Amino acid sequence: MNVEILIAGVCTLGVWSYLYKMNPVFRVFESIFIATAMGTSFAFALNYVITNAWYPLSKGNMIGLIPLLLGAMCFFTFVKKYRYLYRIPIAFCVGIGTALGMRGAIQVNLFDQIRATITPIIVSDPLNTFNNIIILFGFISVLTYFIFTIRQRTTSKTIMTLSNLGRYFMMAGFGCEVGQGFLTRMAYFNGRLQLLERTDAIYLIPIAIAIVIADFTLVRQRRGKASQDRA
Amino acid sequence: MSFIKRDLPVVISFILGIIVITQYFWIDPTLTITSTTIQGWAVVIWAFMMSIGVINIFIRETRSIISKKAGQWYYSIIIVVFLSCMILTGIIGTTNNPIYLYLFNNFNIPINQAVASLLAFFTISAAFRAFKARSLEVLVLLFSACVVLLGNVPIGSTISWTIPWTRDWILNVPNLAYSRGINAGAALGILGLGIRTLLGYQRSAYGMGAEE
Amino acid sequence: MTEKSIFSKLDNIDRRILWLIFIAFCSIPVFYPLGLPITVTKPTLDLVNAIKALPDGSKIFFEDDYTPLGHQEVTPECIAIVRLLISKKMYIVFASFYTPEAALWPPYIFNVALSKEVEAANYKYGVNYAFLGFIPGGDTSVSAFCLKIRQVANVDYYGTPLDQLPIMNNFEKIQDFNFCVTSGSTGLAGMLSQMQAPYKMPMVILCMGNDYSNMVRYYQAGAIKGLTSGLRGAAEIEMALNTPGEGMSSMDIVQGGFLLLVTFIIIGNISYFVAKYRSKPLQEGNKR
Repeated sequence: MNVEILIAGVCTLGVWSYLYKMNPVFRVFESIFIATAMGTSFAFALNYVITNAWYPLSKGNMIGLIPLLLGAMCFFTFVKKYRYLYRIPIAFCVGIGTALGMRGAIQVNLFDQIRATITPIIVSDPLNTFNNIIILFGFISVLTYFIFTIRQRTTSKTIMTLSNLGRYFMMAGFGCEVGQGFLTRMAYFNGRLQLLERTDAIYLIPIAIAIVIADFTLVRQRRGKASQDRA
Repeated sequence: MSFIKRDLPVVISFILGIIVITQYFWIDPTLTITSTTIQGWAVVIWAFMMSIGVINIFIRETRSIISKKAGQWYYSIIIVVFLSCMILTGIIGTTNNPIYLYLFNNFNIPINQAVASLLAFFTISAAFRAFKARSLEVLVLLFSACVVLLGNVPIGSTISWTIPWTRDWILNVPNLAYSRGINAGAALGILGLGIRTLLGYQRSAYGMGAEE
Repeated sequence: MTEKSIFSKLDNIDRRILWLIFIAFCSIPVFYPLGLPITVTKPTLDLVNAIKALPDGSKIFFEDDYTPLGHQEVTPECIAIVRLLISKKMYIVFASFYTPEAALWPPYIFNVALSKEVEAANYKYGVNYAFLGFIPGGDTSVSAFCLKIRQVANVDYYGTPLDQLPIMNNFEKIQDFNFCVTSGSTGLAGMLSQMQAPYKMPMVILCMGNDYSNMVRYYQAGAIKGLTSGLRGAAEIEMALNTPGEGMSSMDIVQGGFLLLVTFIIIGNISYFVAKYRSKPLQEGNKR
């Protein structure tokens, strides 16, 4: 009997108890999850500061002190009087992050996509030509849907029609996301099901079922007794 | 003082943003070194920022324990105990500490995946009760969802060869058009928002309210 | 009258009954696997061929950025690809920029999942492969990493200075790598915008199922050489490389859930339309 497998099985069944009803067991595992997830990111972040950020200072490069001081300024968020000082390290990250986001988004999401949409449209294969025309049409109609600077309904019937057709392309896209998204959710479920049914954790299932039946019976008894008292 | 509170963050953000954008277009060794250095500093600041949220939770849960907040304080004890264990073991011996790895592998991973697997259950019940084709648009959505679902699994091609073919067509034609259109629009939005942020017209990113 | 009450009962069915049906239906393949064949799609085939076309001994940057949620889907894909990379004696450097927990997957892949292959190929840590761990900062850290690796990473995952790892003597910036494999969910767009676009880095993506429909546009635009997603992607890679693993064995359970979902959508819509039809007021001649 592998203890780790049993712990994983207990954790899984404890979380799945939410499907029966909200209960303290689920809350316990939810709390453990929050704590371990937060603890993981904190440990990694702190390790990075200790190992990588401290490294230039350990080599005698005093310029490495600047990012450490800027980072330490983040903690002014907890000091009410000097809270405004934490905006300086944030401004650092916002400025650089905004610039990186802008230059990346324009290249990858705009120019490359427009280029791929319009070149080439007419190809030797008639089916691919038809597909390319639909893609171009769909691209323009979806973009038209998001024009909010004019009142589409009153400005032009063409724009309105194009925008409505764009909605159908968006619905097709949403359908794909639903289909692909369920693949991800089934992967999560698949892992837990295989743990419960293909390993030693299978012995926990009858115990869980017995607990659920016992609770169900107790609840019904209490309801029966309460209705008798009322009568 | 008003300059440090209100304008200095915008000035810093603008200067650094211009350096990073210019470095992308103009190949200059000094500019590249400056851009590389400030980006390296931003990475260290990010590491500090990751800890702020955790410290916030720690303070809030400790307060909940001390004040014995009804219905919550016992769960707060669990959070504080596990959080402390993860942080202490993660620092002593770094993240290779066997206790840290044990807690992560045997608690975080199974609970994380079990919580996510609840989504599969909710999707199944939603499929029965909520996925109703009330209009033509929803019918298009449901049709493409069903085709993509069946096309993703081996039994789809066993039922008919048209299912995986239609799935590929839907993913590579209408979905592609939608995806390109949405993200091109998003890119234009990022450009607009980025310019507003760097020029100081949008200050919410710096934690300033509307009145500032 | 009887039909109406059945459909209205179906409409108001307790969802716990639906969930029990779901668990029971998906449990059947666990004990009686179907083992239906999977067709390998073009994006996956292009991914595998792109890696196979690389000369032996190429330098690969492997970015893994997925949480424990993605572990179920993406790790089988990564295991299949890393097995191929080891067979071609590639030099591999791992790092993650968006997800702290992702730093734990490469040691798992090498020391647990592929320990036999690593030993058989005589792969040595620090010589043939290295783990740089988690570098916080998202897009910022990717961009800084590409410009100068040692600006953001001075020690590896185990705390060893990079100067003490022979493999890292070959790498100063991203252009020193020949190829990039990006896996996960969080950082895909960032990797494309900060690594692929500015430096024209040849790249393939192993993503989660729900990211596939978004990533298709980059594959179609030629920004990435290959794309695969989720458990199906893992199954396709295993099929293409003829190395059966967790991906192929999981497809039976996955397809059970998919079939049930489609069935529920159809039944739910039938009951909705019948109930809607029956609720219309009667016209002359007792017709609706």
